[in-house]
Amino acid sequence: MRREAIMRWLLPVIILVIALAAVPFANDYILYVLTIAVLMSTLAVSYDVLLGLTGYLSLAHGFLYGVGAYTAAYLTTNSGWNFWLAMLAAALMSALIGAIVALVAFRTKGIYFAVLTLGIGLVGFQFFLVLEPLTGGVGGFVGIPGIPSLPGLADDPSRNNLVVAIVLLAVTYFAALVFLRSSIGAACLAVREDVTLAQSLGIRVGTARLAAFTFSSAFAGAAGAVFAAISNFVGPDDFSVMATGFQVVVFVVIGGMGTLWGPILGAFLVVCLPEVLRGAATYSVAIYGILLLFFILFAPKGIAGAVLALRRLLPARPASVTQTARHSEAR
Amino acid sequence: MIELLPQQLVNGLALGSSYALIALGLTLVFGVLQIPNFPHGELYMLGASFTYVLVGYGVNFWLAVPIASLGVVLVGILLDQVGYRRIDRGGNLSLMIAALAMSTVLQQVATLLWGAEPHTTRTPFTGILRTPYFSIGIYQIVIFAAALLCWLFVWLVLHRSRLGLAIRAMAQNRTAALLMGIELTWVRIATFAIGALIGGIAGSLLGAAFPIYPTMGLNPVLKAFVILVIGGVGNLWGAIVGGFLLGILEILVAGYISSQLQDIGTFAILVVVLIIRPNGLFGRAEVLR
Amino acid sequence: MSLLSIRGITQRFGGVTALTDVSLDVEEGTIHGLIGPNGAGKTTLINIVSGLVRPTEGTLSFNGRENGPWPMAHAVTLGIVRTYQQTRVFMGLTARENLRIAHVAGAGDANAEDLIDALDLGSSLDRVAGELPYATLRRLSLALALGLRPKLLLLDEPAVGLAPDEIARMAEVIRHFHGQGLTVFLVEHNMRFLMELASRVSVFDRGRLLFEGTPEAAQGNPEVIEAYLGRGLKKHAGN
Repeated sequence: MRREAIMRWLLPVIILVIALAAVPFANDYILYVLTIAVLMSTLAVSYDVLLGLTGYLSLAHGFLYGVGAYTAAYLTTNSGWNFWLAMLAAALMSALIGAIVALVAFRTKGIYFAVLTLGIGLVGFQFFLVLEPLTGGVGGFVGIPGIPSLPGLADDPSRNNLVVAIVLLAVTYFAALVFLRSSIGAACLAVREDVTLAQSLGIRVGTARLAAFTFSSAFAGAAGAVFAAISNFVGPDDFSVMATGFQVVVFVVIGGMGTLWGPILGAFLVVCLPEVLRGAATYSVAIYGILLLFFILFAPKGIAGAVLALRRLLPARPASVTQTARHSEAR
Repeated sequence: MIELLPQQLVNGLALGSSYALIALGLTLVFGVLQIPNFPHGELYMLGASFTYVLVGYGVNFWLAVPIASLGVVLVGILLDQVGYRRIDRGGNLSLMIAALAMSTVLQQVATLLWGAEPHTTRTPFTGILRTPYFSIGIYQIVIFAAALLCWLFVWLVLHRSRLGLAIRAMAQNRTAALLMGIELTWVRIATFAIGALIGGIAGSLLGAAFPIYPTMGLNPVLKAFVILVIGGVGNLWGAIVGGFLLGILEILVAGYISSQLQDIGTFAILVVVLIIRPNGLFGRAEVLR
Repeated sequence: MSLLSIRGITQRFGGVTALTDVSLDVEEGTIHGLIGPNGAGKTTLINIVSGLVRPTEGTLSFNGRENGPWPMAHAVTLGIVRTYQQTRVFMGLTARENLRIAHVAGAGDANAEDLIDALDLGSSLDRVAGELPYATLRRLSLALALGLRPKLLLLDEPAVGLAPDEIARMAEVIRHFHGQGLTVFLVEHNMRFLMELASRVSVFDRGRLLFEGTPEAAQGNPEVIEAYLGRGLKKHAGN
C-alpha cells in the first residue's frame, strides 16, 4: 500500500510536468491529442470511482458524459451562459440524472446492473436523437463557443484548451482521492469486497453506492462540458454505449481498477496508441477489445499492477527482507 | 383500431419468435454456467453473415443455414475456451468484462471483413399467407416454427440424453456434479455448442429478412436479457413465452401508442420488472426445470 | 442491571423450531457464555440478536431501549456488534484498510493504535488480508468488530480452529477489552476456554434454555451433564 500511496501522488505530478512541459513546444495536432488524452483521463478517473471502488460495471457512463456535453452546449450557445457557469451546471445536471439512474440501477446487481445501465445508455442515445430542439438531433449541436481564454493564452486556443483540461483532470483526481479517503470511500470499498459483512458493520451500503455513482456522474458531466467547448460541436455518436461507454471500461481495466492513477495511464495509452500507429486507425476499436480481453485474462490488476510489481522487484529487496524478519519475530 | 388487433397479435408473435430464438441460447449458457454471454448477439450476427457469404458464393440457402450454424458453433466454443474458462473463478465482474471485450472484438472483425454497411441476403421466403383477419409472411411462419423446434431440440437433449443429464446436474449444483465425476470441460463445450448453434440458426434465418451489419446483435441481445428477466434465467420455456410476450407488447406499444416508444417501452418493462423483482421474475430457482 | 434482555424468542424455519420461548438476561459488564450441543440454537440466537434474522416471536430490549430486535445496521448503531463463525474480513484489502473501514463505520472515535497493539496486528497492517495466516485473520475479524466500539459484542466461536497458544492469546484479548467495560456474549464449543472467561453461562439444548448460572454450577448440574455427556456417550455406544 505504501508503494501505491507513492504512485498515487507521484504519477499525476509526472504527467502534469510532462504535459505542461510539452505545452510551449508542441504543435496544434499534438496539443489536440494531448487534450483529448487528458479529457479521457478525467473521464476514466471519474469512472474508476464507480467501477474500481464499488465493483459495479455501468455502461451508462458515456450517456452521462453526453448529458454534460449537451447541457453545456445548450447553455453557452442558446442561453449565452458563461462557459465556467455552464460547466458547473453540466456537472450538476449529470449528477442529478446520474443519481436518478443509480436509484433505479442499484436495485439490481451483477449482470443485471450491467444490462440495465446498457439499456439506459441505449435509450439515452435515443433521447439525444429524438429531443431535437435541445440536442440538434442526428445533425448534432453546432457552433458551440470555445473555452474562454485564460490569462496569457489569449491568442492560443489549443494551448488554452489543454491547460483547462489539465486543470479539470487535477481537480477530478484530487476530488477522487478525497472521496476515496473519506468515510464514504471506505464504505464503497467494503461494499465491493463483501456486502454482507459491510452491512453487519453497520455501513450504509445504499448511501455509499449512490454517492459513488453521483460523484462519478458529476465529473463525467464536467468533462462533457469541456469536450463540447473544445470541439465546438457535439453529435450523438460521441456518446453511444459502444463508443464512450465501452471506452471508459477499457481505460479503467487496462489501467488498473480502483487505483485512480492507473486509469490515467490506461486513457493515455488508448488515446495515443492509434495516433502513434497511424495506419491502424481502422483497427483501433478491435485493438481496444483485444487489449481489454488480454488484461482481464492475464493482468486483471492492469498496468498499475505491473508498475507496482516492477517497483517491488527493483529497489524493494532490503525492505522485503526486513518485513519477513519482523514477521518471523512476531511469531 | 380494434379491427387491427389480430394482425397486431400475429406481428407481435412473429417478432417475439425471433426474440425467443435468440433468448433461448443465452438463457441456456447463463443458466448452466452462470456466464453472461454478451457476445451471443455477435454469434447471431455471425450466423447471418456466414449465410450471406455462402449464399453469395452460390450455395443454396437451405444448405447455407446448417453450414453457417456449424461455423457459429465453432466460434461459440472458442469464445468459452479463450475468454471464459480461464477466469471462471475470477468472479462476475471479470466474466462480464471479458464478455464485453469479446463482443466488441467480434463486431470489429465483422466490420473489417464485410464493412459496416448493411447487407441483405436474397430471401427465399417471399410468399404471404392471407386470411380474413390477418396476413402473415411465410418467413414469419418459418421463424415461429424454428423457435418452437429449437426449444424442442434443447429440451430433448437436456431431458432425454446422458449429456443432458450432466448439463442439468452442473446447472443445479456444480460442486456436487464435479464430485460425481461429471467433467466440466465437456459440459462447457456442449453447452456453448448448443447455445451457439441456436444463436447461429437464429441469425441465419433472420438474416434473410432483416439487414445484416456488424452491430445487429446488440439490440436483440439486450432484449434477450430482458426476456431472461421476465422468463427466469435458465428457464427454456420462460425464454419462449417471455419472447412472445415481449414481441406482442412491443408491437402493441408501437401500434397503439408510438413507434418511437417501441424500444423505450421494452426498456421500461425491464426497469419495472427489476424494481419489483431485482433478481428477475423467477430468480434463479427455476434453472432448467 | 441487565444490558440485554431476551424475552420469549421463538424461531421457526418452515417446520423446524430452532428456538422455543427463550428468555435470558445479559448483565452489563459480564462475559456471558452460551453453550450447548450442535443444533441447540446458539448461532440462531446470535443471528436474531444481531438483526441478521427476524424471530418468529419474541422481543429484545437493549440498554434501556424496548421493541428490539433491530435490523443489523440499526443494531450496530445501538452498540450491538457480532463476529461470524467463519472468518469474515475484507479479503481483498489490506489489514489497515480493513481497520479503516471499521473505524469509519463506527462512531470514528475508536483508538486504532490500542486495537492494533491489543490484537498484535502491527506487523500485518500492510499485507492483503487474503494472504494472512488463519490466526491473524481471526484476530483481524475481531478487530473489525471492536473497531465499531460496541457495548455488547456477540462472539460466535472465536477460538474455533486455533492452536492452544492462539486460544490463550484470544482469551487475553477478550479479557483486555472486557476490562475496558465491554459486555461479551460468547458462544463457544471449547469448554475450557469458555469456563475460564465466562462469569455466567446459559446452556441450550434443542432450542430450549436448559440452565442458567455460574460455570461451576453448570458443570455440576445433572441435566447439563445429561444433555452434553449422556447423549454423547449413547452416540458413541451406538457406533
